[in-house]
Amino acid sequence: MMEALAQPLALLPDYLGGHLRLSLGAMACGLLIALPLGVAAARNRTVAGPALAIAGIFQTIPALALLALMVPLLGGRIGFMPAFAALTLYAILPVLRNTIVGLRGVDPVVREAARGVGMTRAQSLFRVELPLALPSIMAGIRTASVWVIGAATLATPVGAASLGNYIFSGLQTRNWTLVIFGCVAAALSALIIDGLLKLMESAAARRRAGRALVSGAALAAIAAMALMPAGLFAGGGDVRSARNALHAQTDGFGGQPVTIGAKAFTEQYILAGLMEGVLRDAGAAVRRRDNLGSTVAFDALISGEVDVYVDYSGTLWATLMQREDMPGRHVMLAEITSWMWTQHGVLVLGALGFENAYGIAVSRELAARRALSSITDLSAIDGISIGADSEFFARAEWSGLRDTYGLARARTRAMDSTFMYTAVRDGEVDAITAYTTDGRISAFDLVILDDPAGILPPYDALVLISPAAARRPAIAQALAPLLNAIDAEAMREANGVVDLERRAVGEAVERLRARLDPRFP
Amino acid sequence: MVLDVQALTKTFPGGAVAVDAASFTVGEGALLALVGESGCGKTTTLKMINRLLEPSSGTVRFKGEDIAALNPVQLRRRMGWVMQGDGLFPHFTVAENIAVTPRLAGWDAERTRARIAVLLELVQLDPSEFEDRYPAELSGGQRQRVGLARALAAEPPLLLMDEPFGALDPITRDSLREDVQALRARLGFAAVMVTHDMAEALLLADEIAVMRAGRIVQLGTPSELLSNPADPYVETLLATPRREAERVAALSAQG
Repeated sequence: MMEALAQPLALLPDYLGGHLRLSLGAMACGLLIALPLGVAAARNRTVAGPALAIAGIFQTIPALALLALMVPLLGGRIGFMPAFAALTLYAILPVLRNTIVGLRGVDPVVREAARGVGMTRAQSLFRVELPLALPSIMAGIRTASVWVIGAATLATPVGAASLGNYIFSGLQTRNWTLVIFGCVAAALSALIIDGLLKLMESAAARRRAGRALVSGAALAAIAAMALMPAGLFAGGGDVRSARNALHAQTDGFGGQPVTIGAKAFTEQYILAGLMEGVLRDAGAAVRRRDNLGSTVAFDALISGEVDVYVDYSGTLWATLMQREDMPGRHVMLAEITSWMWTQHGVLVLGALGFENAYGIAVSRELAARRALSSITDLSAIDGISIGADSEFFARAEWSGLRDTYGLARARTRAMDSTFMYTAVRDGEVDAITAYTTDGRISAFDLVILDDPAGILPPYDALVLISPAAARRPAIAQALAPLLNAIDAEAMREANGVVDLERRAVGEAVERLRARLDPRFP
Repeated sequence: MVLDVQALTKTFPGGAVAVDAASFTVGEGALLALVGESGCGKTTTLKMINRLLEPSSGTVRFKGEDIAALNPVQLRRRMGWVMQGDGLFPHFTVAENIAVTPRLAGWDAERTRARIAVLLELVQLDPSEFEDRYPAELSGGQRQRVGLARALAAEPPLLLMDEPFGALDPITRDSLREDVQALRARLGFAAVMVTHDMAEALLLADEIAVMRAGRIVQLGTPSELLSNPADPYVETLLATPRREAERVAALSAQG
């Protein structure tokens, strides 16, 4: 058990520090906005209506979407800023609403008494109205802090380190220890912060200055601890970049670290690990940004926060270029390369050699029983159910498949890609849109059906280099030996190491690298 | 003269005239009662004296100064204010409630503390027992006594009272009235008291202004009112206390 916990525990300072920095920072900023706004709104109804309405709208946007939306809104920046901005918006409503409710709830007789004894408006507010509204305001602050600490786990897909890193990585690599560890750590943080706030509130209400000070100091200490790793980290970064600067003339990387991005699934972690090793061997300092949302990764590449990552031709074609035609593999690659360069200055370094396409997979048993060999045969099954990742049903490929192969009456079930394979193996769905490099296709004895009309586009894995990194040729040089070096079999096996054998990603990287070794003397 | 009110008028937006050209004066140490039914404008008149409401026209002079020219916050610190339902600050102790106006006026801690003790004694609350209590821990009569002490804390020359005994039971009300008279004798402040109870006005006031529909219909001493009511309305208001007094006298005679 302790062994299983050693790995997550080693990451805890970074993830917990990031999590607390993010949530406490957002809380502080949210309070700075919501409290004055709440005071103004309590006194002036023309402020209250619009303020509550706008804050309410932010609240109804699901946290994950609000976080993801901040990336394009902030010009493609990923990491701390978009997560911080979204969580700040999230913190505002409960505090704003409870401030207004608390202040309006103050007995008008008491308010008049405050004026009658000769208080100014400010004295009435600070000595009478705010103290009497305090229980309501504190309840709002506590609600907001629990929400924000919970929602901060969703900062992972926009590239900010948080306890969500455990959860997202754990979900994708089916490491439930990691998932539970992340959940428990987030829940404990929320409970501890909430408990301290509660203590501070009751001490303030009973006017135990000592106790209020102690709990306030504990909160401050947590905030300081959260900031410390950042300080140390920044210090370390300075040393490292100073060292890199010394090598600048010789290493060809311009003294800057190379940031490698990865989306949130096993293959991406392995490829990012592979590129990291290759770049380090070439003398580069490397940073990782794992678990990025699918389009967040590309936004980050354009803004230069990520220097390099692997994306798939079919995804770029449909999602970014919004193309629905299927001109064939080579034309498609050529068009993507030129579009990337002219539209965004992004360098398509080349293909890694394998394709991670969507393929319609069914269990061998079902294939035999219903004599299935092509997607066309599926239309004969009444009430057929198809599972896919959440992206797929929104793409042109799905409408193409549906219309071409008569699947209009199929029941569609969107699910996390981790669960698709067991779902089709266990018969919960009849067919899934499998990724063709997934190790579970052979392990679960699944059959990929033919696509005679060629509706499913090719999904060649392409190495993309950001406009800024394209001006540092050492990066391209270091990565070039990976091009056309990984075939589908090699990738499937590497994925299987993690997904089936339940080994660490690092081990899969090593094994893949060993297989390619002749190219890396 | 402490207070000189001339042709004071309040018209609310929409045209309703709440107070119509009210004029009266209050001398040193005197108590004037504003008497009338609810909605007659007596509370509105009172609130224009310490500028909780601004008059539409007319003047109020406080110790010779036109209050329109004074800072309203500073003005209120020089007038005591007792409201119906006490209006104590629920998050302050008894001592802190009484200390509010002296602190706002910048008294030092020692002088404030001494004043709190004196006032609590004067309103017949034992300082050591009551100082640190919160309003929720007091009875209605005790709360009203604290409200009175708070209003008198900064040694104001004028006390404004809005139905100060309205929410109390008869025995508490009576003992508190006695206390007010004793405090006036001891401290010598002038006062304006709003009440709907003519008997109360007759017992406490040096002068009574009877108000009806925003106007003062009669202004005079209690004995002037009793001997010479100016119109049938004043007669009606006087009828109840008179009848009660006669019956009590008759019962006493039988006993």
